[in-house]
Order: sequence, then C-alpha cells, then structure tokens
Amino acid sequence: MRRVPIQTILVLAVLAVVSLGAYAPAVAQDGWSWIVTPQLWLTHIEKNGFHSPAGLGNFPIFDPSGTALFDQFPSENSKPVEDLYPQWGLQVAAQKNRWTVAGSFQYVSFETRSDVIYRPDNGLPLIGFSGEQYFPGDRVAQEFLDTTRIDMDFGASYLFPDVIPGRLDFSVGAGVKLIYAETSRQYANLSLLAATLNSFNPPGLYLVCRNDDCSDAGFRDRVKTTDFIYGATIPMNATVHLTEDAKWLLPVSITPFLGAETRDDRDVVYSLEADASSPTGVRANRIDGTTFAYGVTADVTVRYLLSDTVSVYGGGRVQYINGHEEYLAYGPIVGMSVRFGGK
Amino acid sequence: MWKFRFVVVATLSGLIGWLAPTETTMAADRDLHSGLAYLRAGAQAEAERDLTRYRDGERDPEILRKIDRVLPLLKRPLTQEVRDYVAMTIEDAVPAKSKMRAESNRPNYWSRMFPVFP
Repeated sequence: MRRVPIQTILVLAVLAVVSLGAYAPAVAQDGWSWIVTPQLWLTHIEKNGFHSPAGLGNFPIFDPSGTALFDQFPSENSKPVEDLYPQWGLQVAAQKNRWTVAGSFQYVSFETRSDVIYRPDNGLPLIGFSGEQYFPGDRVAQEFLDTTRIDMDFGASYLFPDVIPGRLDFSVGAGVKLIYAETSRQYANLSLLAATLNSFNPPGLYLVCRNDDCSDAGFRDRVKTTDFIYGATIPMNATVHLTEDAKWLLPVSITPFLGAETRDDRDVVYSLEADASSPTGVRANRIDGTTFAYGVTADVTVRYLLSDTVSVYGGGRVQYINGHEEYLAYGPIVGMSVRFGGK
Repeated sequence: MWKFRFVVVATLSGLIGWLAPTETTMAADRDLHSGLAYLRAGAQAEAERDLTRYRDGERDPEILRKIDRVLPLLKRPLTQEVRDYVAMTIEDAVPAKSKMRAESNRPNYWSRMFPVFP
C-alpha cells in the first residue's frame, strides 16, 4: 500500500480543523472550549545531542618508536546536512474559566554529520597501508546520524489576564515532557586508511563490547541508539497586547525542563581506558544509561486574532536540552489555533 | 505533489476568507473619516464619493437616514458653516456606534487564552 506523506496528512488535518472551526458557535455551550493548534517549526539543529564514538581511534597507530597510540581521530564540526528540518506538531487543549489543560505531539526527522579528523598527540604525519600520507588536521572520514524524534507534552496552566490592564496577560503551569529519539549512525566518505580498516573482518569502524573489559569485542559498520528524555516542565507565558483591540498579540513563552535521559546505544564503546584490574587491560567507556537532564524551550511570536475562533501566529523558537550530550535547535515557527465551543 | 499544492491553496483561500470581514470594517471606517475630512475642507465631490461608499457598507437605519439626507446637499455649494454643521450632524450619529464597535472588537480574555506549545 502506498504511504501518504506526513506533510499531506497534517495539511489535511489543518483543513479539517479549519472547516470544523466554522461551526464553532454551534457547539454546545457547556462552559468548556477546545483549541486545536497545528504548528510547524523549521529547526536548525545546531547540536544533535549525540557524542561520536572513537571509531578509527579504536585502532592503534604507531609512532616512530613503535609505541601504540589510540584516540587520535576525534570527531569535529558536527552540523546538520540541511539547514532547516520541519518539525510538525499538533496541540489539543481544553479550557474552562482561566484553566487550560493541553496535550501536544511533535515529530521531526533530521540528519547531521561530523568530520573525523587526524589529530595526533605527537603532531607527526601518518603513513597509511598503501604509503599514502595523512597530515594533522586531514579529514579521514565523515559520520552521518539519521535521527527520528517524537515529542509529547501534557500540561495544565492558569491565566492571569490583564496583569497590566489592557497591556499584558500572564500564565503559568506545570506539565510533563516525553521525547523519544532513535538514531542510526554510520561512517561514509572514507579515506583509503579508513576504508582499509573498515574492510577488516568483521567489517565496521564501530567497536561494540557487551562486556566492560571488551573481551568480546566486535565491529559494526552501522549502529543504532534509542533515547528517552522525560521530566517535568513549567510552561510560562507573558502576552503583550500590541494593539488596543488586542487582536495583535506578542506572546513570549519560556518552558524550563527538569528530568532524566535514558539512552541505549547497543553496547557501543566510545573509547577504551587503560585499567590494570581488567583481564584485558582496558575498560570500555560508555555514554548511555540514565542521567540527569535539563533544558528550556523559548518562543517569541506574533499572534493575530482573525476572529473569536481562529488565530494565526509566527515567530521564532529555540530549544536546549542537556543530558548525556547537548541538543540545541532554533528556527522560525508558524501555527494556527482554532477554538470550538464554550463561552 | 499537485495534491499537496491543492491543499495549500485551499488553506490560504480559507484564511483570506476569514480576513475579509475585518478588512471590510476597517475600510468602512476609513471612508467615513475621509468623507468628513473632505467635507470640512470643502472638497464636496470627494466627500460625496467617500460618504456614499460608507453608506453602502452601513446597516444601521438611523445612520443611513442621516447620510441619505446629507448626500443631496453635497451637490450644491455650501458655506463653511453649513459644511461644519453637516459633518457634526453625521459625527453625532456615528461616534457612539464607532466606540461601541471598538469596545465590542476588543476580545474577552478567554479569546487571548492560548496554552504554551513547548
């Protein structure tokens, strides 16, 4: 069966919501009103939230005296493959008096890449298997990460209208956030040295060890990481009335987040540390499991009330989350809210 | 791809449809104010044009009656005193309504109550 693109589904959802909005006054006047808000955030992924494994650095290189050197190929210049990725979202909220209860869903898929650079501690050039030379600062490979991420938020908030009469409203609340992310990572654009190491049997540049002493070491050419970020949020909003009729609004929202991140990277080893107590003399350095996480999402938008039932908004958003690694994204945001019933 | 374009065009058309009534109200107020300004300045032809346009968009019978009475007068030469009097007569009928319209245009707090979408 042919798959319908998510963009088409969401645009159709927007149309359905707008059509229903036309019948809003006919909805039962039971004191509750409902708001449906489709939203599009064009995200520039400045930091992707993932740390690169040592990769090539797990293979020893030898200096002129024959000493083995590890971790001489750090990952640098992580950046998104495309400048902007669309993050689609839909929020449904129920309101009564000054209280709002809301749930939202957002989806984004993005690709980032980073350069694997030869950075030797001794500053000497490297001679490869076929006699080719690599100088400090040369790129020897690139790592690509394909990430799919789903955000879910639930929260309740209370509005303090006209805290400055005719000029400013304020709202504050509490909620929970859950983010699920799945990343597939692999190396590409390999230099001759990286391609040769990648072709060893078993192939791959990712070192994978189930045991911490790496006595069961194996290699893979593609690995997956799954990630859950979850915790409490404090959604806060200040809305400035830009015009006397309060049809043009300037909402500024800040939502701090406090929680945890649980990551499963399928036993990937990020680096090896010397450990005399280990039977193999090394210990695997991992970056997964559960750790404390915190962050913030901030929006500045301009909203226009087209009618009592429909409003549109546009502006900018930035989001920062720090758990195992930093995630930073920002970009323009647009959306539309349609209200049903109540009042 | 054409289906995607179709829904985008349909969405934009819907939005324009929603915007149109607001634009109409603003245009009507503009016609009233420019008509009165032309009248006071002695530009009776322009005043007649704008007030006629305003009249066509007005539904209040009292205001309609007043403007219907004034429009034939504008075809004759009028002194400054008469023009001021005519403008004041129209303003007396309209300001209360304009103010009421402005008040009713200001939405209640609930229409500005939107949850944060983090």
